[in-house]
Amino acid sequence: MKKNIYINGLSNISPQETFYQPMGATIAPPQGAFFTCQEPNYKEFIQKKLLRRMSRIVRMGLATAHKALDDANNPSLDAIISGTAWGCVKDTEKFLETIIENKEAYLTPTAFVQSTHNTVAGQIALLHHNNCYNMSYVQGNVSFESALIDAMLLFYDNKANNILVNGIDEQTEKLGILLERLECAKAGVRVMGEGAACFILSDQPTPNTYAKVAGVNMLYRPKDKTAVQQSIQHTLQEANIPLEAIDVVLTGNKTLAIEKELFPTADYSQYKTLCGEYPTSTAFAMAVGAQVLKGDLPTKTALGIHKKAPKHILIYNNHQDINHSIILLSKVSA
Amino acid sequence: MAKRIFITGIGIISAIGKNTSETLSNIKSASSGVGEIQYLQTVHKGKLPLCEVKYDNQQLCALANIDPQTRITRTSLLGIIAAQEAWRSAGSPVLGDGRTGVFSGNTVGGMDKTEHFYADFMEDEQAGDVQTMLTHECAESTERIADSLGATGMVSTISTACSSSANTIMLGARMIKHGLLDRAIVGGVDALTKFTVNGFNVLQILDEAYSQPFDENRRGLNLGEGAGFIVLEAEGIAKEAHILGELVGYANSNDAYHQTASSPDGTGAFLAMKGALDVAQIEPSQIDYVNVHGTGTPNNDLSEGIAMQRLFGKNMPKFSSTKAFTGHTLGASGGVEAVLSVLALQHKIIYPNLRFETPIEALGGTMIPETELLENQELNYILSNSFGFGGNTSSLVFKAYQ
Repeated sequence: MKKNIYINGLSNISPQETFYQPMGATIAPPQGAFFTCQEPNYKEFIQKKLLRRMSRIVRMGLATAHKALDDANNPSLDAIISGTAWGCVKDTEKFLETIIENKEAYLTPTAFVQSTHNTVAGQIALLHHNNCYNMSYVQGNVSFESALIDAMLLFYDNKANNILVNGIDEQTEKLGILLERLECAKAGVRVMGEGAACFILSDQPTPNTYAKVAGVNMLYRPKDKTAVQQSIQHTLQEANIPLEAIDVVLTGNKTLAIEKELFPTADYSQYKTLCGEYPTSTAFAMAVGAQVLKGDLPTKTALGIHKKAPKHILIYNNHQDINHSIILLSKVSA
Repeated sequence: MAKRIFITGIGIISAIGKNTSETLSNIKSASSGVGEIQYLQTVHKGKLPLCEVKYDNQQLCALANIDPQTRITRTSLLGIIAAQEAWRSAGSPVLGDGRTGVFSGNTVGGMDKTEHFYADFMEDEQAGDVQTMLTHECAESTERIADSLGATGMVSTISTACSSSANTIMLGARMIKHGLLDRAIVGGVDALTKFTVNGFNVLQILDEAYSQPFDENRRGLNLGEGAGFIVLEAEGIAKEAHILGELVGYANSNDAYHQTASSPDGTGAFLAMKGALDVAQIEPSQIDYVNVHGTGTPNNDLSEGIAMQRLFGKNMPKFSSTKAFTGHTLGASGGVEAVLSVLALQHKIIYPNLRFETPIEALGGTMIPETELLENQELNYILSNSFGFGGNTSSLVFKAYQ
């Protein structure tokens, strides 16, 4: 039943320069309380006439899908699974604003049609003529983890050899105002971000393989700290990886009590200093973590990792003690 | 050998009733839930019919046993009411051991509250009760439902437009099959909002009269709201006395034809139905009844009909759309129709496709749904279809418990 799952291709649009090449030495700082993505030239990937109507999240989703597929040498896909908490914010705002402004008259359907949370996954299927399994998870800070678990189930069922999984969320000006009013975004305290990271997962490695996804787990309202630690330990046990083998913890958290007790000698990187806080930020962490395991030194430096050749990376994110997420990555030769 | 997955509880709220018994009695008396707009504040009142749940939010709070002062969306209220009923009918199992998942599907989350807040926000960016926005995300109602049940296993939300809750049912089944959970409360919910009513209206797929699914002269759909949840339990966990049926097949595909329209050859629908039968390891001829997606739009019913003809050939099983009763409840429809499918198995009935008059000519004039309530039916396998925007197509197969 259990299988090895390999990351054979990836693509990452983030506030850092991560799309055309792995993250370099120059780190882009946030603008006040926000990080905004450095976007590619979409014309390289999407026809101009289609591009015009697409919101940023759809563009980011399609460009990363294209690049990740290319990176994996374009395997045929058996499933497309998206994780997005906020969904297509811009088009939702657009349609909502027109309804209110025009008092429910003189509307056009485009924004409504593209406001649906499964627009990105649906558009990937449409452009790639893919009739396979197509799913979109919208579970707040564990949307991407939900997508990963779904992918694992498909592999366990022998229903798939190659699956596209992404984690994607967009900021907008209006959302920014709301996040500031809610005190989620606050310069110097919490920087809100956005991003799109896309992965081609496979049950077979290739020469391009980045890393193995050795485990994924998500917890909802765990009783206490011990319950979280037990769950992390359980995830490691299932993958036959001892606690002391974890070289690096990519943590989404500010206080590191839970993880430091388990992994006192690991290197720590607070990856949100590079991408900001957003619900699918763990997809950013998984992209850069996979690149580090493949031996990418600039990314390792940018993350502030000192260990020479990390073999096992744990990604741990705790969202308000409600949703906890655990992703375990391992070097392929490990 | 994979574990069997049993359905041990059902719960529903829609325009035809606040629970399963009201739903069943309204269906038996052929009482549709469609009517003039009473609750939604919209300029379309008096012009477009809707299938509203016939309670305002305060009354829903009473039904859900929630303090009316609580900041809570209509979406959450409907979801809690149906999920609680499902849980009670499963014998109120204790859910706090981390082995029960809660998976819910919806399309617009807490939009019913957001659109009120947004009117203030547009006047003045610092105005309005901004805390409302914390109830906007799709996941919020799912977490409220899980909390109301005390469930602490995996909680997740799927949003794939109108197939959302069929997909949560499939997820629950797969999680149980692989031993990751013992039990899952699955289904979905959507509340009517100005956002969706205007969206479907501008797409010109709403019927200004009462919808006529699978009829030659169908004009569009009537939107509805509601919630439907079922409790899935693994073989060995499910108590014999609570078993209502079995979930044996499920599949999802993508039509990959158009963002909102279905393909002329029904590719996605065909693949979903075929896939679900394959998982169930049964032949098309074994299906006794199809609860079709049957929205009543010219496009859906034709495409779905073609897909059914491709799958079933000359041996078309009995079929009907229950959307003439409930309206199209969008993200909730897969859950609502799963509950109706289980009720059909339990009571050996097949539902009438209300308001059907003339078969669709482009389907050869031979696809005639059931128009009367059929009782004492030998029902072994029921196929339920749910299709959505983004080409998302899902099918489920329910089996009578033996």
